[in-house]
Amino acid sequence: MSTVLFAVFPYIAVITAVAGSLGRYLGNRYSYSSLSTQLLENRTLYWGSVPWHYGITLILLAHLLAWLAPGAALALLGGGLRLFVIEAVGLALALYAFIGLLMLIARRLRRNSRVRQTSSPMDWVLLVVLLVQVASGIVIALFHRWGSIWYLSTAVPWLWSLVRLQPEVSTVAALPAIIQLHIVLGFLLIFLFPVTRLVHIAVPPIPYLWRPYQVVIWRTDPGRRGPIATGALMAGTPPPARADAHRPNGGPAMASPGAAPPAPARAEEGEPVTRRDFLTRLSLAAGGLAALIVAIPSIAFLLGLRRSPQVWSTVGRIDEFQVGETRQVAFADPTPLPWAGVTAQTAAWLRRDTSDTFTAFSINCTHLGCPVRWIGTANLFMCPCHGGVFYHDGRVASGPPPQPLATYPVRTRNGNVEILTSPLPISGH
Amino acid sequence: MNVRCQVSMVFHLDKCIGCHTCSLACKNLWTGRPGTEYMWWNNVETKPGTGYPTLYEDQEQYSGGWTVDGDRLKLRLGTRPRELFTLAFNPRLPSLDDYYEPWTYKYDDLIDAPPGDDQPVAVPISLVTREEMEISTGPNWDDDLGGSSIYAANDPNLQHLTEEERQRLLETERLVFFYLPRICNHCVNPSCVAACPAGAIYKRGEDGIVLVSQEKCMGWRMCVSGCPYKKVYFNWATGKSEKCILCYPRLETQQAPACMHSCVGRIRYLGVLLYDADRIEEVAKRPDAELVEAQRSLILDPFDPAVQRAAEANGLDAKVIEAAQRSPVYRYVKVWRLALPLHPEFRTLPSLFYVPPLLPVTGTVDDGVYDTSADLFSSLEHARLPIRYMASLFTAGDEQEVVGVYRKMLALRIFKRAQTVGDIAEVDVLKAMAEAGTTAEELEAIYHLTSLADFDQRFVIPPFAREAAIELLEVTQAQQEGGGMGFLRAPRRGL
Amino acid sequence: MTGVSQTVGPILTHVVPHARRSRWLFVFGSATLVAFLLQVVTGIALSSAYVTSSGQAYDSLHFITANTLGRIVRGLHYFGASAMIVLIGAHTIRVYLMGSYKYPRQMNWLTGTGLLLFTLLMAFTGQLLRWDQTGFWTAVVAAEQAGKAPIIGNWLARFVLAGSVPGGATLSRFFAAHVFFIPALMFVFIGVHLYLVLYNGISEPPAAGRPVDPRTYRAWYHRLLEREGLPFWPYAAWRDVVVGFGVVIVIATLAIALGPPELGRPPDPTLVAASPRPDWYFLWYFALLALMPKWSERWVILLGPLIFGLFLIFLPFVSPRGERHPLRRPWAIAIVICALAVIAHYSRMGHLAPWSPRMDAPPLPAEVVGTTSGPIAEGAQVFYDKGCEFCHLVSGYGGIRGPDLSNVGDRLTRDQMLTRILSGAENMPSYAGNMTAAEQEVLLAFLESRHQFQEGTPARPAAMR
Repeated sequence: MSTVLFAVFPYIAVITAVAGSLGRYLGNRYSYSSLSTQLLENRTLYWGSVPWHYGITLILLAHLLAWLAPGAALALLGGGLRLFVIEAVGLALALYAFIGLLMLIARRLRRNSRVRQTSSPMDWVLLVVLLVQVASGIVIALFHRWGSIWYLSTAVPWLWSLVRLQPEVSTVAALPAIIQLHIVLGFLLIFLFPVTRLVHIAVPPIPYLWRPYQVVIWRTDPGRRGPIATGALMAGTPPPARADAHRPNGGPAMASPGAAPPAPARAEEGEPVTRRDFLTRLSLAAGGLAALIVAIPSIAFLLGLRRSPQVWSTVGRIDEFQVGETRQVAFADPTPLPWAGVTAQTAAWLRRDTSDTFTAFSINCTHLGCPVRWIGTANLFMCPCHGGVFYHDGRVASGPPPQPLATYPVRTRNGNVEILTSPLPISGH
Repeated sequence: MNVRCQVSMVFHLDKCIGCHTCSLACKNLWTGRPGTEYMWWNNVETKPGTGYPTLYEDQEQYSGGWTVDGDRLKLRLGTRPRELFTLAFNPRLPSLDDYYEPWTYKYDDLIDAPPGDDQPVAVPISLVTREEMEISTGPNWDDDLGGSSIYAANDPNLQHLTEEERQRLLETERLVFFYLPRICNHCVNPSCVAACPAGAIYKRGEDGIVLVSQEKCMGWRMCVSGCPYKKVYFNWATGKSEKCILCYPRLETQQAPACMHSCVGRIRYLGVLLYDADRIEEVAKRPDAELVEAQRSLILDPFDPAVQRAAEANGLDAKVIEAAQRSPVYRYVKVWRLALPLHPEFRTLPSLFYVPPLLPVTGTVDDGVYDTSADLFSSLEHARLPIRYMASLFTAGDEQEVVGVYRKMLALRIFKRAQTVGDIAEVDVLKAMAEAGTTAEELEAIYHLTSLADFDQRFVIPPFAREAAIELLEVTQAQQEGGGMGFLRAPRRGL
Repeated sequence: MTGVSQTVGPILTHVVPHARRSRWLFVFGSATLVAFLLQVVTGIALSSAYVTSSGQAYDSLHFITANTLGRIVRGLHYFGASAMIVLIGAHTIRVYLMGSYKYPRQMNWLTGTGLLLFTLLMAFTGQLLRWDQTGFWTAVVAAEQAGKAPIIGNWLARFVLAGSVPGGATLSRFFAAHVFFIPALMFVFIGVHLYLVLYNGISEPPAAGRPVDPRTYRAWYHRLLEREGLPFWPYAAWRDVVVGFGVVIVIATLAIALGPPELGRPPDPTLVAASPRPDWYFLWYFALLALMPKWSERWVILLGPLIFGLFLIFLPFVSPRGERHPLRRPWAIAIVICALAVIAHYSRMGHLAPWSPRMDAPPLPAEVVGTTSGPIAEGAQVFYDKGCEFCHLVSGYGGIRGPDLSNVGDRLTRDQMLTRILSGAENMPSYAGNMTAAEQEVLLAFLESRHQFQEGTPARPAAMR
């Protein structure tokens, strides 16, 4: 369960958010808007929108910065007093945002409210999730104190493990249920991002701070502005307009020039537009679903990697090896595919360092994986591909290899030398 | 010299009869969709009056347009960071109540009501909430209420009048009003463009039409506050701002905008102006008293060979220059100096101009007798609607500019009366012409364009690249039901 | 008229520009297509006998080669691959030099770029399917290179191997890519590519001073066709047929005369005495990996192909108009010459492989050493035992990675030699602690005895390849 919630769902949420928002932006940018209701009601909005936006922005920033720079956050929180002050400020901001959110919900619930009329179902879903999320955050702040500290040792490592694509859920799986709820709801909000008005966060108007005040758009770019195509109308052919330069807006054409898609699909005479829309969506949905049904198992099968179990494999008796001698040994994949044949074998260079210690080197050169050879008289490993050379202890002697030879774990049991079968070492990792 | 072309309009207010046909033509064409019911891209308001939205001219309240701070031109809204900090709640935004809550009636009740003792009635329902509502105000609620103490008396322009003048305007027999049709000014220095955080509003380079990119608009609402004329509207249903598009699909197919096309009084003139884009900022920073003249100087003479060369170098076609030479707007604004911008002190350099109305100025009522005044000259000083009021509307307080306009209009009147009725001595005619600094040829030309001009003389534009104009007009016939004119894809609100 | 002839007729007889001097340069594309079709046919034949199993592929290849016809088919497939690489390279260079990628043929170029990439991938995977020792280690090297990618490298390497170690699943993966996935994409791309050639028309030979202007080009091109165009069939097609025939004949001759490349030793990872080398078309890249500075390697492996790909992809967007003739585009000529020079130089280096220790070098013969006993002879033995000879040439014996030591006695003093031996260098191991004092003594004695004019030294070529 915790694997699903903390190792699978976050990826689904982030991929959905990124792909969905991008798709919505590219395919239907018209639907991107803050969907402000200030025109309809602006008294309660003041007490709702201002606390909500300022409170939640600062709190989100704190979550984000502590995640990005946990070291700095830890240093900042070092002192007891500082920790107390920061927690108190955080709690105050959370309450501030919570009050704002309540006001925002109240003004939508009010009878006969104009805003209620314009609320979509997703608005309600979003408000409820946000309310539970902020409430759970406040409960956590009150009953699981010093979250700004334990956040650094629980959620942060987990988040980074997600970033590294090696999810490690143990630190969050052990947390109390309410905190897990807070985490899951956080990713639920990310998941909901592309299907709610939250998308307005994705288009902050920061460039406004430095762009010129006036925006003038030419049909042709101003550097090489040709004559306005005056003849075009009379000749009855469309001008060779640089449509893209003049068409920053596409999509719905109201109050936006040239916004017409190049080839508008026309409804059949008298056919209601909604029916055409419905059929379009139905076809897209059915086609997409069919493609997913075929694609998901195929791709998942392709991506599913065979992991050989790691087992201790005997490569010989201890007394077969002389101290200071390096010899080639071979061991087999513990669960080879029946058709693997000779490729199920793996070779290694085994060196008896002292009477009871061994080192097993991978034969793969750390440059590009070619097999290195042991030159006993020279006491060197040499690679035939690009001339990498290693000393007897695996250190790089010369040539392009970036790292010493990889080693396998070795142990001795019952007079036998055993090597732990391991994945092919990939240099750089 | 950076010559650009601007589509521009003149309203001859003397000819406006306040019939609102323009507003309805516009409404039928563009703003019948959900969320736009309250918008009147073209509205006609009664002056003196509070206008639409209420008190839009009061920039103390709405902070629209520009101010000059020392050497710098600044948005009245404040600095850019300040603007971004008020995204969540814009304190300068008018609410729907400052416009009005749109409604319709339950017409079905008239037909479906069961038999009863009372006449069935159609109750009004709000077009926002779809609930029954009490109508307390509506579009043009103050129509013709020239002397009313709640509407006319609160006109911000009356501040510049003396208390006595103000009181007189409220007296039943002395009250006076005229009509002011307004659409987006498609300003040369638009403050809505400058205020838009998303960069969604832009001015078209070729014809100067100011448009909102419906895709880029994110509903931050700063344009609504930024525009001092309140001619950008927020569509509450789609979360996007919309505004007058000067019927660009019609212009591109050589048709007049709907409002102009439908104008009963033929008060509108449409043509192009050439102007020097390099001087915009300098002109917008002039002191109030110089603004009108400075804006006139921004407009370039299309007969000047130097201008023609610069225009061609800038990629303007010969047909554009030719259209500028025949432009009725150029003559009214620059040659005859009759047409003035609305509220130049907002410093957006509006591209729409108004010939101020003469009739209410010269006529007075004394003891119940309407007197058109024998002495037409002295009447200007005793104008029924004070010159100061007109100066507040059209010249940022510069009365001399208004007086100049009126002298020329009066000279025309005297000149034509002497010609057609013949009861004015020639010496008086010549005196009036000398005071107005005009000639007989000029007066004939003004007379012709004002009274006799046919459509081709009132509407002169070069051929513009037509973009998708044809397609728009064709397709929207099938689309108006679902989306509205201009939408090829139903303008569905985002989630 | 039947439907078939109605469809095929216009395609065959569509009008193409009349190329005069450069008409024989317009055959590389169709020749590449001929090579591709040959690969398809021979590939299907081979796949019907090949066993996709890590354990048995090697044996099945022996089975195929043992059959006379099987041997020829393998030869055809091998030389067909080489021909395809050469021809698609020539085609790319021709299109690039003539600026044929410019408007309106940008999409032709992009699909062609895809085909070039796929051809290289086919060459790589195909060489790997020759599942001998080299094939096996090629898979490992591919995984290690994928492993250099940031963050996902490790996962990518495992994906290439289809598991944590190379084994039974590895070969199937490459087989599927070589036989189904990449060819399917190639068929699609070739279809689009050919359609675009018909749709946009084949480019006319460029003329200096006649730049492409997107606004007028199509109209101009159609006027050109009307004025002096010729039906493709047979006036232009015959040259394609002749060259295609020539290509097949050359491939067949080589396949029969030389036969397929010999299979190496079986793909047994425990046979460590392996020297994997790529086929000739990747030798230059192999050489590049050996010779570039160590620090740059990770970047070259990652960014090199990326930059090359981006260059090809963005080229038609960056210069969609303007002059097409190579004489007006000196940079194009410079880029092609540089690229060819780099590839030729590094191919040669890859062939020589100077960096590779010659572990098969025989001990120095007595006539080179000059004596059979005493410290000098012992030193020569140490010189061999310690691997010095694998990298250093002495009178024509040994490797060529390090400096030639034939007359080192003339150049260096004893101390200088000792310092070098003990401290090593970037490309030489340090022998401090790896040699007894006695060994040092005799080795130095041997080296000091190396002088330019030694009597009795037989002149022998350096090549010990």
